[in-house]
Amino acid sequence: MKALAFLFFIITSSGETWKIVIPEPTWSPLKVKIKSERRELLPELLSLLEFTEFYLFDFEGKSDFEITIKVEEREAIIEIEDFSGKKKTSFVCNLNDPSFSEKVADRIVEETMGIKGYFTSRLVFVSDVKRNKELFTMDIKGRKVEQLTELKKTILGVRAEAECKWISFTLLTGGHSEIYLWKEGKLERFITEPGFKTGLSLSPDGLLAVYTGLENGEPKIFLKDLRSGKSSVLIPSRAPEVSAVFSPDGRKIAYVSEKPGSPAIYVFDMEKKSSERISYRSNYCTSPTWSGDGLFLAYTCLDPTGEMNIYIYEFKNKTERRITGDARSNESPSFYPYGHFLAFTSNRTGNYEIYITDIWGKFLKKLTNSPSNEYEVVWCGERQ
Amino acid sequence: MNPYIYIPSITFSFLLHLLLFMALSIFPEQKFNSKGYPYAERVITVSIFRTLPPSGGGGKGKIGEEVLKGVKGIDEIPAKVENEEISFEEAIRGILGEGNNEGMTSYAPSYFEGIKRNIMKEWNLPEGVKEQLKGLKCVILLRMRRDGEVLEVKMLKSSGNELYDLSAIRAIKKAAPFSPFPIGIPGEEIEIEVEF
Repeated sequence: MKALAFLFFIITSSGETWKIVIPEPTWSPLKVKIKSERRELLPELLSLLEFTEFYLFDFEGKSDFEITIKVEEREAIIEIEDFSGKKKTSFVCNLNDPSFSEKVADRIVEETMGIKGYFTSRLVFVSDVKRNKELFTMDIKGRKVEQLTELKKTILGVRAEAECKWISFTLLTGGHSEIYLWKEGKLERFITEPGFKTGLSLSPDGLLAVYTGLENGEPKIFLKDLRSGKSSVLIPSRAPEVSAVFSPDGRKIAYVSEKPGSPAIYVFDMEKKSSERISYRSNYCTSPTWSGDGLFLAYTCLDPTGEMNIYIYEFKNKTERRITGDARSNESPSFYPYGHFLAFTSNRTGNYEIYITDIWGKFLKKLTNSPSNEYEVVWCGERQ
Repeated sequence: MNPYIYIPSITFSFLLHLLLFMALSIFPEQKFNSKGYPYAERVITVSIFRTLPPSGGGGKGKIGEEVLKGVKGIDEIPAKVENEEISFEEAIRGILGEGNNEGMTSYAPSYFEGIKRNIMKEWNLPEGVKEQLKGLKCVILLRMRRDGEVLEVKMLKSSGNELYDLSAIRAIKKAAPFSPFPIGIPGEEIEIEVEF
C-alpha cells in the first residue's frame, strides 16, 4: 500500500529544486465570501448564485473568492478578489436596473467560472397553456415569462440562433406546414414555396439554410442558398431524413436518417461531402443539437423500457452516454450556447415541464411548474 | 628452511608496523568505538530518535546512521542541549541547515507528500467547467522558507487558461503556510516545482 502511494506521489529531486505532481482537482463548488453594504441586495443575488451549484457560501476555512458590494448613491460597486492575489476585478451596476441581481450574478459567474451571460440567458419554448401550442420565453429561473406568438395554431420544430437573434419554427396549418422566422420582434414566413417543410436551421453566416422537405413523397434534407434562392437535396439517399442542424462553425450538419432501418443520428461534413453515423446505442434517436463549442452533440433516444432519454455524444472520444434515466420521457435537448449545460423537457412529474442539467446529468433543476405542457425548449444566451 | 625466502618478508612486515606506529603518533586524539564510528556520533544517533516523527521512512537505524554520518558540527550538539540553550531538534536543524546535505534526504518524501496533500485539499473547481479544464497542465514554482512560510509563487508554465492557472495558485496560497522543514532538508529555502 505504501509502495503504491509512493508511486502515485511522484516526487523527484534534481539539484535543489523538488517536484510535486498534483493529479486532479476536487470537482466541488468554489468557496465564496460575499458581503454587502446593503443587506437587502444579498438574498436575490445569493439565490441566483446558489441556483448554479457552483458556489458554497457557508464553509469553514479560506475562501477562493471574496466579493464586496459597496453602494454609492444609485450605483453599486462590486469587487471580486481572487485568493491567489493575482486578480481583482471591480465593476459598477445601476441599483435601479430591474435586472440588477442577474447582471451582477452574471459577472460573478463570468469572472470566477468563465461562463458568460448565464443569468441573462433566455429559454424559448412551446407551451399549450392557451390550448394552442404557442411560443414563449422565460429566464433561467423560469420567471419573466413572455408570449412571443399568438397564431392560435400548432408550433413545432423550434430552432434558434445562439443569441436568439432569430427563432425559426414550423406552423401546422390545415393539413400542411409552413416555416416561420421570428426576427427582432417581427414574424415572417420564411419559405413560401408550397408543400411540406419543417425544421429550419440557418448557417452561422446566415447565407445557407437547411430544412426538411419532401422529394417523391419522402422527407429529405434540403439546402437553400439564401443569396440565389435555389434549393436542392443536400444528402442523396434512399432513406427518409429529417431534423438537420448546422454546427456552430457551419462546417457540419447533424441530422436524423433512417438508413439503418430506424432513425439514427448522423453528421454530414460539408467539405468532405460525407456522412458519419453517431448513435448506436438505441434503435430510435432523434432531435440532435450541438453544444456551443461543437464538442458535443445531444439527442433523444428511445430506450428498450419505452422511455425517451437524452444522450450525449462526445466527438473527442467518439463516445455516447445517457444523461437522463428512470424517469419517464426526456426530450428536446438544447445546449446553453456558452457552457456545457442543457435544457430539456420531461414528463417525469406528469405533464411536460422544462428542466436544466449539465452534460453529466448530475445537476438538475426544474424551471417550470404549470398545469400545461411545455415542449421544444431552445436555450439562447447573449454574448456579454 | 631457506633464509633468502624469510628476509624480504620480515623486512616488509617491519616497515609496515613502523608506518602504523608513525601514523598513531601523528593522530593521537582520534579514538574509535567498537563499531568503528566516532564516539560523538553514536550519542547523537540516540538523541535523534527522540525527535523523529514516528512515520519517518527508511527505518530507525538506517536514518540515524545515514543522516548523521560526517555532519559538520555534530559534536557540539550534546553541550548545547545539556546547557538547555536549544532543544535537540533545534540543534540538529541548525547543523543540518549549514549546507552539509550529504545523505540527508530520508524524510523528504513524506514531507513533500504532506505538502502535496495540503495543496490537493485546497484545489477545487466546480463541475460546470470540468470539460473545459480537464486535461490542462500548468507548472508553478513555490519558494519556501525553512519555517514553512511561502516566499514566492511564480507561474513557470501556464496552461493557457487563466481560470485554471489561478485556481492552482489559489490552492497553494490556501494551503500555506506549510510545516517547517524536517531534519532531512538542508538550507534556509527550497524551491518546489508544483505541476497541476
